[in-house]
Amino acid sequence: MGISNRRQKQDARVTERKTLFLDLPEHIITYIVDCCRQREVCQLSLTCKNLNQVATNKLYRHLYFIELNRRIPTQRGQSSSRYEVYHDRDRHEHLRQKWTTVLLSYGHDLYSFAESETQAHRLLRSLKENRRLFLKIKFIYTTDFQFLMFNFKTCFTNEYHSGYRKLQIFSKIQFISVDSLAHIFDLVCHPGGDSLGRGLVHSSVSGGVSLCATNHETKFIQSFGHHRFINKPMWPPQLKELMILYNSTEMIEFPIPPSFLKILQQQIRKLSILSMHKLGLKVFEKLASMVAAGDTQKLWLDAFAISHVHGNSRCLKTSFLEDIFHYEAEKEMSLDFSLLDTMIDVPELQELELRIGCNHCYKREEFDENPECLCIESFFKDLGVALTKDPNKLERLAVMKVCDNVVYNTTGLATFKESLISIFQPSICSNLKYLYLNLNCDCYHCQLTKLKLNLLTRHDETIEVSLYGRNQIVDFAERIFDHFSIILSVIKASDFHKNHHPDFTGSYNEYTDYTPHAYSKSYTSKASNGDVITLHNIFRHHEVEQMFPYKHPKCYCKKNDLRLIITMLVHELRHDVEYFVDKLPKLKVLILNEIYFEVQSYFDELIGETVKFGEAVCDNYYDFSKPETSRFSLNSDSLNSV
Amino acid sequence: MSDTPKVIIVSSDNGKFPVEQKVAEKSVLIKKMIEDLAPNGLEEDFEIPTPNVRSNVLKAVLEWCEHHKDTEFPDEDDDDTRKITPVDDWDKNFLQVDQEMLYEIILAANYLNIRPLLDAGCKVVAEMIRGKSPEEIRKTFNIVNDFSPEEEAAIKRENEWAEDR
Repeated sequence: MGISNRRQKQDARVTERKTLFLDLPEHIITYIVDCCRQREVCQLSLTCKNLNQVATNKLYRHLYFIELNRRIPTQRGQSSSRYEVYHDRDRHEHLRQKWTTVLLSYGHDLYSFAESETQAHRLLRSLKENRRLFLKIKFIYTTDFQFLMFNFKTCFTNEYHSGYRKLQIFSKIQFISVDSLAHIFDLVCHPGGDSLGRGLVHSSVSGGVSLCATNHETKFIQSFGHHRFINKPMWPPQLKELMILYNSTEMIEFPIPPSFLKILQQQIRKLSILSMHKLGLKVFEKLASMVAAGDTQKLWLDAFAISHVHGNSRCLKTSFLEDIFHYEAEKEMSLDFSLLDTMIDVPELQELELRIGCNHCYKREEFDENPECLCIESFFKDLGVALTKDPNKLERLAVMKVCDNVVYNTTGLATFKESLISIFQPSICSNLKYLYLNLNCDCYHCQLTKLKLNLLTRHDETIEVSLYGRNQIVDFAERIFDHFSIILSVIKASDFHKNHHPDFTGSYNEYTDYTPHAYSKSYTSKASNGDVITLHNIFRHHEVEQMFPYKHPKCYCKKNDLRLIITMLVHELRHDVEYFVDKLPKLKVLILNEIYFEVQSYFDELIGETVKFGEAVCDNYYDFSKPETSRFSLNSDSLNSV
Repeated sequence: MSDTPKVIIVSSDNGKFPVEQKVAEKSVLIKKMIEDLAPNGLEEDFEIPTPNVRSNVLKAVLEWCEHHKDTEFPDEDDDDTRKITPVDDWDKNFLQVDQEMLYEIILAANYLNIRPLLDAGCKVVAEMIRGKSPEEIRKTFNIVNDFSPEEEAAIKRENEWAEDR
């Protein structure tokens, strides 16, 4: 009785006092705030301290900087359906209403630019006033990394003279220190890839911060880079990886203080200097000369990558003719690769990457007798001694031809490959596990195609060959040339022995060392139904998820270039295709290096018999998200002929 | 009909509300309780005390359950979708009550674990905030401004860029 009395009293007390909004439990208030639009969340944050705390936690989480008419990432979805196209402002409505979102849309017209500029000012002011906001940001989405400086280029081309104000915005962003950047959990820039440099993909997660410059933004390097990176006495200690990326066509001279070199020496383990033109080489030369002058010890790096670009940058020019017209022979620059040995402790290197993007060759055709680019040759010549030093730790040597060099190298791919192998001494590679030869443009678009085609083959492109023993001397040249045919013959032998194929005359026994088992890791494909042979899994692919199935304006390789590459490959594969079509009467689809060849036939009235041929089928936008099996059910209308 | 055992929900002030099992099971809490305590189904009337829900609130909540007894609510874990879906008209009308009652319904829905009702309630509160200035919000919800003018100005500046969205 007493108990129930007391309870009634308690209840009475509860009912006496009115329940107020702030009396609601925190999780309910949070939920209510979740249901509000961003604007209201801002208002709530101004009402009182309690609500401020709840509301502010909801703000500043995601930043979207998007360009109009661009595809942007949606929240969920698979790689192929991750992008949606938004055609106008209103289509952003659903993002606008999110409290976590900031949209800075900048289109290609001045009006929207001017508008975004105001927004930019506001954002920058907010960030400047309260840097802790930056700590809250968990994700930044942007269509490219110009988000840091907005689209100045548009303004210049439209002769919109407010460069001064824009540079102010630009300089303000510099208040964001590198340390705050390190707190951003994930900096997603997409697609951000370009023909020579990779996009800034993941930043601080791996402890890497990339220093990026695009277009006018060599100034960015000069100011931002200079102040924030180059002159900074302390770097985030987790920074181990530095990528210096120059995309500008402008050549800008800037001093490099010894402190920068010291930091490189002390904490950077992986350094990439990538550029669209010679600026990267200049920086490299400068660094090398500083080391040579005794400013510091040699850099002790695990990985080093440099792009070598000869000739004028074609990338930002509009036409081929204009390019020829602007060609300036005296600005040619070729790197003395032995500088690498001066600057870096080469035997300590585990990975070395050289991207040859020289494009002087096709121009020399016009002016010179010798159109060939000899940079790769001189790379091995200059560096041969250092590379063969014993002991050395080199595990991955990547030599890539990128962009223009692939298409305009007059000697062609096969010849390049031959010449490379003739220079490359197998004795160099006592520790080498991979030799990576990539002759393809490195932009996302091309990578996708490469993935599709997996341009490997004995005929060039990407070859990743595992070597067997650590100290085994291998006849490298032979190995590469034979690699593909070996696998072919192994497959032929195993599968056709199995099927007692009467047509098969294989050379299986000639290659006793190379059983399918030896390739088991990479070789997963089987002629499962007897009608299809797939060879595309023999070599490892890049990760499919990272490929973007569309062409971004920042990808400078032209569509024609790509076509040319594909055509060249198809051309080079034709003997294999003929061989298979001839040997395998039941064959319907042949997949060589991810180029699909459909076997077709027609009745030739002249000879009076049915002729079979393999028709290359290439859809650049092949959907990789499809399950493996569906690849075999390709029908002709889903494919476009090359 | 009268033979089917009922669930009798008892409010804090001892009000007894007999309802069909189906109606009561709109509350996940009650549903779980019945599952635990009568795993073979109800054989007789089942009494459930709800010590922190007043009878007029409980009455309202059960009215809602009765109305929605045949509504299939999508079983969504997806918070985003749930937050975006607008409140249905009946619910909106139903929740046209004074603030205190609204909060108590929300609290009851929270306690009884009736997610769709909780959602609707929260959205109605959010709707009350909509379009209001901070001062108006304070007035509506009886909130005391505990910022100094300087603090207030600082937050205003911070938020400036996010406001237009």
